[in-house]
Amino acid sequence: MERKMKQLHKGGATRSRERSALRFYCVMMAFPILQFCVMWIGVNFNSILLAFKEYDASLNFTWTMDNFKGVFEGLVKDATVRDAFKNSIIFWLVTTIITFPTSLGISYYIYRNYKFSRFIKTILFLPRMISGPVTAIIIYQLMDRGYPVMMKLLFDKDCLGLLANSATQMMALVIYQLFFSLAGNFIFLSSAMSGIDESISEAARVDGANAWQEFIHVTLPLIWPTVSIFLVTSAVSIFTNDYGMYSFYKVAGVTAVNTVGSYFTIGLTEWGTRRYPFFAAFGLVLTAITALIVFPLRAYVNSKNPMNDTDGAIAAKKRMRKEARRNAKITENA
Amino acid sequence: MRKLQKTHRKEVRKASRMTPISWVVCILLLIYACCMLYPYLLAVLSSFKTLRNYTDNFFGFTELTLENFKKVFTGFVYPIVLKDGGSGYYDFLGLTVNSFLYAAGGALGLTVTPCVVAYCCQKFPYKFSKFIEAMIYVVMIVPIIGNTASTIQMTQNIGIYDQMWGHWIMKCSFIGIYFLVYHAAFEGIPNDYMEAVYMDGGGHFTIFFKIMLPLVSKQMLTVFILQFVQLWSDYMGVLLYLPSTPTISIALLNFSSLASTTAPMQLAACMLASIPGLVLFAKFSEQFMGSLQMGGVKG
Repeated sequence: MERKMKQLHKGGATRSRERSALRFYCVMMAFPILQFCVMWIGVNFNSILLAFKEYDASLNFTWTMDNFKGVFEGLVKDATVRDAFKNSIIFWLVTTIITFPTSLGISYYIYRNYKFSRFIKTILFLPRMISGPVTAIIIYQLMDRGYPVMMKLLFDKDCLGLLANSATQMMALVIYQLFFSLAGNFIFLSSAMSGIDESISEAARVDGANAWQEFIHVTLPLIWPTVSIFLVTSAVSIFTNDYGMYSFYKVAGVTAVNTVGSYFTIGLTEWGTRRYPFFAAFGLVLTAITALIVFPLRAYVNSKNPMNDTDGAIAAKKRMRKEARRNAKITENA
Repeated sequence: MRKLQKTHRKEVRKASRMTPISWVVCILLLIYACCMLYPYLLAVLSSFKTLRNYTDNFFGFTELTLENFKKVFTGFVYPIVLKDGGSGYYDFLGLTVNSFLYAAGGALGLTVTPCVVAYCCQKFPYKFSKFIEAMIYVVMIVPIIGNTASTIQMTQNIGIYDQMWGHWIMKCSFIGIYFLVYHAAFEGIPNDYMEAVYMDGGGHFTIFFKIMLPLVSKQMLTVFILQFVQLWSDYMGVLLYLPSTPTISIALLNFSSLASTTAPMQLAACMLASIPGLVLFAKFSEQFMGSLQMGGVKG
């Protein structure tokens, strides 16, 4: 009888605890979920509807498919839209193919604590801590005012600034991207590397692995989740990232080199409400294109996970988790 | 045993030693770091030059002055169109206050919201938590592009457009990479802590505010600083959703089109605008390392 009472009491306590947990859960999640419903679900649903609308001068709307027709026509015929699309892809490729592996290498150099790594780390952080417009202004001053002065001093030659000259504009901006986009990834990659158990790296070193072997066989497999997230999210933001081009448009008057991100910002701030449906339709088309890039890329990145090769390490991890969950259940029941 | 340890230490030291290849990498990195630093140093120098000195002697200097900084504080005026259609202006101090409110409020929302949601999803394995987690991964992989126009319409409809508090609400979003950071952090905290507090009579709010938040405070501070700096330099959000509350970033972008401004003055304003980021960097640079780890993208 006493045992039964105890069990009943225990059951009541568990129920009260569960209720309290649920109460806490509801209170804490209410606002974020409401915000998500309005600012993500509501906004995106409205965006899809907006893509099929057309506004007249008094902002009354009619349903139409003309916005999509306009987008496809723009992608084929309008040089500005075409260039924006092409440039976004170029900047993404530059930051993914060149910058990301370099960033990975530099992060490893700092992780290994080689000479001057503290100084290099400090300098690499700088662009991240200094605002984009400030960097754009400084680069503009250097490229458009400093470069002609330097050419005059060194070769006694009069020339235009790198950003003022349409022939060199694109090259100058690609170099800018290469130089200043390292810091963004570097913080996360360094953090991921510093989280690696030191004994694993030490064991590899003691076994005679050189820096390259340690990087390929120990460090890279252990930080692969971070690497894969970065590769996928950088592809996701191809058409939302303006790659700093709006800053150069405002600061240096660069109009010939634009990206989809800067094209959207200029359009939405300067062309008025009646053009909103066109941008919503353009966004939907770009979402479809992004999905076509992201899903194969994600599958490829997952298939290249070095952990897949190490004697079924992932399967072992899953097995261990399952076992731990089963043990926890048994303990709970007991 | 001691001999073994000594050999082990020797091996480790030997393996971490600089090789010829690492020296080459080191030199290349130093060159890169100097190239990166040079434009900023030149900008600092130029901000102390007179206009004449700046035009005649771009790379060198003959006389330095604080006049540009004084002019930024006293003579700089940024015109705006008010919500009622009238006109007004902001001085540099006003722009700084706007920037601070915009960046600090937004960063707070972007720091706390993913933390709360990640905690709830990680420690309360309800079906809804699993659904939220799966949704976050999907949203991160396939965002709907071009919803800015719709966001402007939506904010106008619900009355938060062109309001600072509206911007703060917009930033209370848990979607993004920092959700993964917090999720990984909470995953690393054993549930025994919760059990112990519960046994002592504490509730879930006590567990969250007194135990869990202090344990992830390092991550929270790092996320807050990174978001603060990002929002401090953000211009798109201000342009699109807060047109009558300009920040320093907006003023800097439009600087050259304003009356009575010069290039050295623009650079002086840039230097002043960079101070908060640099101060945060100087104070918390060591904090960044090792505090932002995250799990993988689930299939």
